[in-house]
Amino acid sequence: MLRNLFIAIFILAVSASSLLAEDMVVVVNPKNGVNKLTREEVIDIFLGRNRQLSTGLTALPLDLPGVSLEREAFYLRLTGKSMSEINAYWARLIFSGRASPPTQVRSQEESMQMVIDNRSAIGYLERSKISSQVKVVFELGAK
Amino acid sequence: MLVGKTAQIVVILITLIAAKFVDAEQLGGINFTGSGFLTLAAGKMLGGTSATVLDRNCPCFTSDYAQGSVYDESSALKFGPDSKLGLQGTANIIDSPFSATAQVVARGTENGRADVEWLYGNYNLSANTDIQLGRKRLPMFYYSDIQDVGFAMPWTHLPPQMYGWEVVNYNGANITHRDRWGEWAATMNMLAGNENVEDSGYWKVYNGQQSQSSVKWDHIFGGDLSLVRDWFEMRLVYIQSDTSRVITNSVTPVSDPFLLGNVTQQKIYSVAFNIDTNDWLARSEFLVIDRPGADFRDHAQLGAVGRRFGHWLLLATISEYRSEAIVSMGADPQGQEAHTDRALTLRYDLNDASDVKVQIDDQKDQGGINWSPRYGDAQLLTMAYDRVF
Repeated sequence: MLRNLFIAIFILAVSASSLLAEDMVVVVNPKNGVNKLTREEVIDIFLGRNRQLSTGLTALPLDLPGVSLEREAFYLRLTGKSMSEINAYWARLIFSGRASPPTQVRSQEESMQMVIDNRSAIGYLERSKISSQVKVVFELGAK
Repeated sequence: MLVGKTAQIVVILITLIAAKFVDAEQLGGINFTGSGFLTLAAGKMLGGTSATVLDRNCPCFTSDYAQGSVYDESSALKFGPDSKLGLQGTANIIDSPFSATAQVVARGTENGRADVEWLYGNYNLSANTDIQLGRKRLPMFYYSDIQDVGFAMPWTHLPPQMYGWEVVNYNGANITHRDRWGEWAATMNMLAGNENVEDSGYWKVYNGQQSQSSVKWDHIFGGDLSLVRDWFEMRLVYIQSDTSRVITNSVTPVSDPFLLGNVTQQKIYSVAFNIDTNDWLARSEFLVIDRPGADFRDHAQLGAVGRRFGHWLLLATISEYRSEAIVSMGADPQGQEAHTDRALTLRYDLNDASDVKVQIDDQKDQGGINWSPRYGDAQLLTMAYDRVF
């Protein structure tokens, strides 16, 4: 019993660290005209500070599910903040009506499909998950 | 009055229904989203000045003036003053810029009675500009907007010396614009409206629990500007209004001419400077309320420094309120209210959406010798469990 528990913890730790170690990128639809975003621009879009893209389009940021390791890794690498700090930040905006949070999707696959289908959508993915139908505009790198 | 009560019940029911859809749900071309917050708090007086003040047995600590939330000696452990449950529902017409939001809050200090705190319509003028119409929070301070959301703040209760006023909401309109100015992310907000408060908890602190008050803030006009750059944030506020109050059934005679229905203009100036690095955070806020022609001026300030250790946050806070006597207008320099609070808070994040906190407050009454009511010094221990959903 105890041995199985140790094995489970080991597998979880290894998978978590490998997920967190993977290179992450921010992607958009190739037709939206944006070729590159700065870190500040990505922060503005995902934290609801400024969603007007330089092309005039309104960015539609996509968020992975609340408990996903990819989401945690994305915000940690982008802002240096933990998910509880990010959630506290969003609580401040949601309950004051000052900004709306990113649209939540169920998986990286759904996020990529929305980016392919919608010129305004902007998502974050592991590099291994992206296809040639999306354009990388910011690289977060690996931890 | 009956219509008002009925409308309130309808709004509460709609909010409860919308809040059920924590994940967005679509019904008949309308997208419903819901969210909520909960704080379960308990507090115990550890010591202070023992006295009967107005109709309370002290030592007493006012944790929220606006709601009249007071910890006193009446029970060993009090759960009411800082406990609250809030539900928010938003209905958005799909593919349109219109939405409507309602927020209902039930407070322990009001025996769980649910009130509609926010009720407004929103129109997205552009990606970064919103126009809102309805009932909203008056954004006097940095934490005003989320003063009920414990998870979004580092304390078990807001520093009462800064966050303690007779009016916290308003009915009216506002326009918010978000932009980037070079290295700075900017958010601007302009507002106009008015507010009437019957039986404000604030005045029950000063005139007794059975006292009654009628407060009016008319011609409210002002705005706030937030500037964020990396780990630094600055917020500037200016709000003005005409204000008048009538107090009846006070425990002690009301002699202040500003409590007798006279209309006074007030100008509220507030500034906040915050630092938030990955490990360290600092909060500072300064307030002045000037009333031309009145015989006193309000000053409040707070400073806090905290350090994160993984899921833990340790925060030390000092907050101060001082009423300045305008002697040339006949005010008594020894009749002014003043108090300081020092607080130490330990927060632990249980997960991404909940925390537990414990806080010790040490409040010193520094009012003039002629100041009344004199609540005296107070030491308070509070614990809280906060959650958002």
